[in-house]
Amino acid sequence: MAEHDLFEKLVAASPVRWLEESRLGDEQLLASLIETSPATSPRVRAHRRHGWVIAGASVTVILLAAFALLRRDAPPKPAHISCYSEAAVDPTHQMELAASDDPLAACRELWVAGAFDNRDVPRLTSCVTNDGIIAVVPGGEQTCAELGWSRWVGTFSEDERNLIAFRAAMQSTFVATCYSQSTAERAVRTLLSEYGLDDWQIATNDDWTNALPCTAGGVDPESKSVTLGARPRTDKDVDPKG
Amino acid sequence: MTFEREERLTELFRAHVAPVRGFVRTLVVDSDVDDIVSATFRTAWSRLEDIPQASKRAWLFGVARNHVLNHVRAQRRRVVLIDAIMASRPNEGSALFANGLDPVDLAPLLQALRKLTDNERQILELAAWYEMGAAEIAEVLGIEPNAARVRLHRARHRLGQIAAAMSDAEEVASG
Repeated sequence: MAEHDLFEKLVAASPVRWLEESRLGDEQLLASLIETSPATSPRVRAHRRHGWVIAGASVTVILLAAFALLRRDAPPKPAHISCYSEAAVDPTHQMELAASDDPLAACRELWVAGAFDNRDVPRLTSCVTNDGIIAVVPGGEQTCAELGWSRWVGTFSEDERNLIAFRAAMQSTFVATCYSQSTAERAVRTLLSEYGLDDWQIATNDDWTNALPCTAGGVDPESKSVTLGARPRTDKDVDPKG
Repeated sequence: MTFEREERLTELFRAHVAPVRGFVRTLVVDSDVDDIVSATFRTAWSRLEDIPQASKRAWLFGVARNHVLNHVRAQRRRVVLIDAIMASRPNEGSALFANGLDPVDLAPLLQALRKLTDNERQILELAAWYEMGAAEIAEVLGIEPNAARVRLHRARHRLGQIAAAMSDAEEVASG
């Protein structure tokens, strides 16, 4: 393959669009940067604190709601699986994927695609690391114990799978699209209906402003609710279709 | 003056936090990303007056890269650009790549990338994914623009050479 073609293929394979997802905690990080700086005068800090307290509180609510799904499920962090190149706590290569119904199959697919140096797919087994993440490592029944981890032989229940899929749908809906409060509520109602979650509630914080015109969403299975909060518009945002 | 600094940081942060996070995610495992992003903007906050207006993104990328090199254990720096490509849309059924690229078709490129050095991969990533020219790449890597130009040329050439050698080896193997 020509040098130019290879480079163009690399350009086409760019994952930047997905790597640059916004995070609900970004505004909180910004607030903490400003708040903790010795350059900030007490007068200005007091003036701005009120606004940040409101924004920070709403972000915290959304973050808590978003993490509630993770807290509830077993293993503790089912939102990610990690594919290991070898049975080691610190492997040469480690790829983190979003949760899928079948972690073994997801990692096997990476092996087949040549993600690791060897395309011969070894026997794989699923463990739960001490951080609560599902790790798929080469090895057999004893491998997890040898690494100091638990073996994960469970599967997600139908409800858990549905929640994972709903959460992923929520994330992809709001990550790069600027929904106003009203359009966001409509979009969430549509998603709730699609995933059979018609008994869920939508909670909103009334903090949309010119500076925070877009919407972030968090999922809280405990209270069966979706919490919507305001966030700033970013360069990546587009307007909703239709 | 203080208020003005805060406004400048806010503007810088909101415009660049997503690209900086995306860049950092190509360098370290996910569990280290937030720490590096936070450290990067703390540096930016303390050196706001030093940031070149014409290349803010490249300056931030350079700071992030330095934090990675200084603070993250070497064995944790293993998520490189191949991993990022592979993980970009992993949860879409069997379609690994949302850009319309077939994993099998992409495999030779991934294999060739694996054989490059970290520095060679990184310079290709900056040029291919972030559309950076020599001046911006130089800012990220802390080198002269001419050196960046030469390194980019060499990295592209090496990628082509490795892919060609692998292709030849496959043809020989298949008879």
